[in-house]
Amino acid sequence: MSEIATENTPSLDNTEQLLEQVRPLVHLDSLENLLNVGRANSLWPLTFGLACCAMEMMAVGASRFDLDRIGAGVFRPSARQADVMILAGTISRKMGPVIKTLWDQMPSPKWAIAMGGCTIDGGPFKYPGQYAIIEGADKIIPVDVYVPGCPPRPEALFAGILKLAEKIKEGRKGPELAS
Amino acid sequence: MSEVSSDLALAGVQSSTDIDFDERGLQHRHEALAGDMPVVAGAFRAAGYCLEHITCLDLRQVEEVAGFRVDYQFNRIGSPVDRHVVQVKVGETETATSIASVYPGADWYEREVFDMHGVLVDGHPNLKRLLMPEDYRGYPLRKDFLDEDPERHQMSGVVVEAEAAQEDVADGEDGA
Amino acid sequence: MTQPAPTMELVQDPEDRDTYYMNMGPQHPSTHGVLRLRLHLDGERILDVDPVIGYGHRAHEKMAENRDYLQFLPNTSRIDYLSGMIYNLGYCQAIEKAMQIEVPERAEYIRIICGEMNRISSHLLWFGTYLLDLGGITAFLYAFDDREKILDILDSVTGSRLTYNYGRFGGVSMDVDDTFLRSVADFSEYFRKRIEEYHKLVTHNVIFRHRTRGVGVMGVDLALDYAVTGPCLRAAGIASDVRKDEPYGIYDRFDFDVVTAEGGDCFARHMVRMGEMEQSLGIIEQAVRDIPEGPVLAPKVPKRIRPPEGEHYFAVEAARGHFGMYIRSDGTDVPVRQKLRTPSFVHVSTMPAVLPGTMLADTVAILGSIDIVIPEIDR
Repeated sequence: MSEIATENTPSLDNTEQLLEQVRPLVHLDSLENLLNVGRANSLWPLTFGLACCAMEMMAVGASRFDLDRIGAGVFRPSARQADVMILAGTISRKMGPVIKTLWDQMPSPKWAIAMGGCTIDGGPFKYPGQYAIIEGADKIIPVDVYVPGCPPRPEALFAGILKLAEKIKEGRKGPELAS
Repeated sequence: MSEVSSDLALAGVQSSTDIDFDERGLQHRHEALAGDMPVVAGAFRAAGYCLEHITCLDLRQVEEVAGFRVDYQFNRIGSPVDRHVVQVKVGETETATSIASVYPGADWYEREVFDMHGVLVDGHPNLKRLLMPEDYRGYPLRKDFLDEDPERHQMSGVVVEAEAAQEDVADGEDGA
Repeated sequence: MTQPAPTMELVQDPEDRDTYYMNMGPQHPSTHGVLRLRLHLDGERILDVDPVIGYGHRAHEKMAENRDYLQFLPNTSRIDYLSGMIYNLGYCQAIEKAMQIEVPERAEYIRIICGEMNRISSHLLWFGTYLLDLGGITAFLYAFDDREKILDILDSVTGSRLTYNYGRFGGVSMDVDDTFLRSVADFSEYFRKRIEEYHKLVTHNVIFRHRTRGVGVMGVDLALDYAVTGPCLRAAGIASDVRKDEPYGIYDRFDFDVVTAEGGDCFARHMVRMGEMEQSLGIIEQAVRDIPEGPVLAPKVPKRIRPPEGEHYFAVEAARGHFGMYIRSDGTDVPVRQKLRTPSFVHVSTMPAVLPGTMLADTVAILGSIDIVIPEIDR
C-alpha cells in the first residue's frame, strides 16, 4: 500500500531530516491512480490560439466535436488555472518569451500539446532564411503530444487530447526533457 | 489624366505616366522627391483620396544601385477607381519624409518600412520597430539580409541554457 | 537562468500617481489572437492605447521573395485563414490578370460560390466569437454548427476545412459535381431561415444593444485618414465595396446590394455583416442557377509563371475588407517584392484614435466588432 522510497539509508538520529526526505516521496498507488484518472478526465486547457490552428481548436470546443464530453471543455484564460497548454499556431520570435512566461505560470502537474505543423518543427513556414519564427514549440518548452496537420482536423486534435489523457493515466505528470 | 493631376504637378511631382488599369491594376505612376511628399500627400488629401498603403523596394535587385524606393499608393474611396502610385527614391544614406501629419494611417506603414528595410523617416512621431522585437538587429526585407544571429531559433532577448548546452555537446561529438 | 525580455516591462510615470498602465494580451481571450494592447487607464476609462503587433509575424513577404509564384500559393490561405478561399483565389486572379490568362466560365462560377461561402463562414465565426466576447456562449455554438455545414461542403471539393489551396493559375484544381451544387442550394435555403433566428437571438437582445449601440464610433473622417475598408467602412455609411468598385472575376454579372448602415458604431458593423451574409446567399443562389458546363482549368497555362516586368496591383473584397497584392516583378519566376495590403492592419492602427474615452469593457466590444485576424496584420 504505502511505499517509502529513499535515496540513501538515513540515520535514525535525524528523524526530522528523515521526515523531510520521506514526506514528498510517499506514494499511495491506488490514490495516485485515482488522481491520475481525475487529472486525465478534467484537463483544463489554456486559451492559447496563436494562428490558424486556433480556429480548429475552437471548433473542437464547439458543439459538433465537443471537447467537454471528455472533460476538457473548460478553457481557462489564465495560465494559473490551466493544466494543459495547447500551442495552436506558429510561434514567432516575439512570442517566445510570452510562451515561456505562461508555461512558468502554469502550476504543476502541467502538460503541453503541440498542435499543428508549425509547433512541431516550423511547418509550412520553415525554410532556410526564415528569421521570424521559432521552428518548433519544443525549442522553448517540453512537449507531451504532437498533433500534426496544417491545420489538423478537429478529430486529430481530439485524438491528441485523448492520447494525452492516456499518458496521464499511465502516470505522466508532465513533459520530460529528452535525456 | 486624373482630377488630381494638376494639383500634383503643383505639389512638385517630378514625372507622371498613365498606366493601363486592365493590365496593371494601377492608373498613374508619379515620381517625387522625399522632401516633397507631405505636400503631394496634402494634394491627395484635399481631393478626398485615401492612402491605400506605403511599401518599400530594395533597389539592388531592380536597378542594381544601392538604395531604396518608397512607393505610396493613393486611391479614391468608392468608384470609379483612380489609383496613383508615387515612387520616391531614397539613397542608402538618405531619409524619407513622414506624411503621418497628413494621413494618420501612414504612421504604421512608415514604421514597417523602417522595421523591414531600415529606411529612416524624418518627422515620424514614433519611429520604432513594428513587427520585429524592439531589440532585433537587422532589416529583414533587405536583399542582403542574412540572419546571422546564432540564436536564430531562440526568442528575442532570452537564452535557454539547456538547448545551448545540448548544441555544445552535439558540436563536440561531431568534432566540429 | 532565463532572463525576461525587455519588451514585457510596463512603464509607470512617477509624476502621475492616479492613472495606471495595464497590459492586455498577447495571450488574452478577447484579443482574437496575439495582439498586445498597452492601455493607459484612469480607473475604467481609457486614456491612451498603444497596440503592439508582431507576435504573429511569419515573414510571408520574405517568403514570397524566395519562392516562385506557384510555390507561394499555399501561403496565401494562411495570411487570413478565415477568408482563406478568397485570398487564395484572389492571388490566382492577380497572377492571371498580370499574365492575361483567361479563366473558363465554369471555374469563374465555382470561384464565386466558394468565395461567398467562405465569406459567410468568416462572418459566422466573427458572429460567434463576438458574442462570446460579450458574454453569450449560445450564439457561439449555433454559429459554429452552421459553419461546420459550410466547411463540410467546401471540404468535399477542396479537401481542406480552413486553409484552402483550391485555386490554380487558370481556374480551380477540382471540378464540382451536382451533389456539391445541391448541397450549396440546400444550405442557402436553410441558412436564410437561420439568419432570422440569429436576429431574434442577438440583434433584438437588449443586452447586446446596450453594449454595442453608440460604442466605438468609427466615422467618415477616420475612413479618409486611415483608409478603413470593408464592413467597418460600410457601417459608417459609405457604400464602397471592391466587388462593385473594381469588379474582378464575374462579379459584375451578379445582382447584389452593398449593405451599409448609419452611425459607424459596433451595432452598425454587426448589422452590415448580417446583411452581407444575406447578400452572399443571393449571389450563391444566382451562381448555382447560372453555372455552365465546361472545363475548370484554362487549357494553355504557361509552365513558367513570369508576369511582365514592373508593378502590378490587384484587390479583392475579403470578409474584412480590401485585400490588395502589390507585386513588383522583374520578368523572372520570383517576384522582387510582394506587398500584401491587408485590412486588419489598418483597422488595428485606428485603435489609438477610437479607444480613448471608452470604458475598459467597451474595448472588448470594439475590438471584436472591427473583426481582426492577427496573422493578417503581422503577415
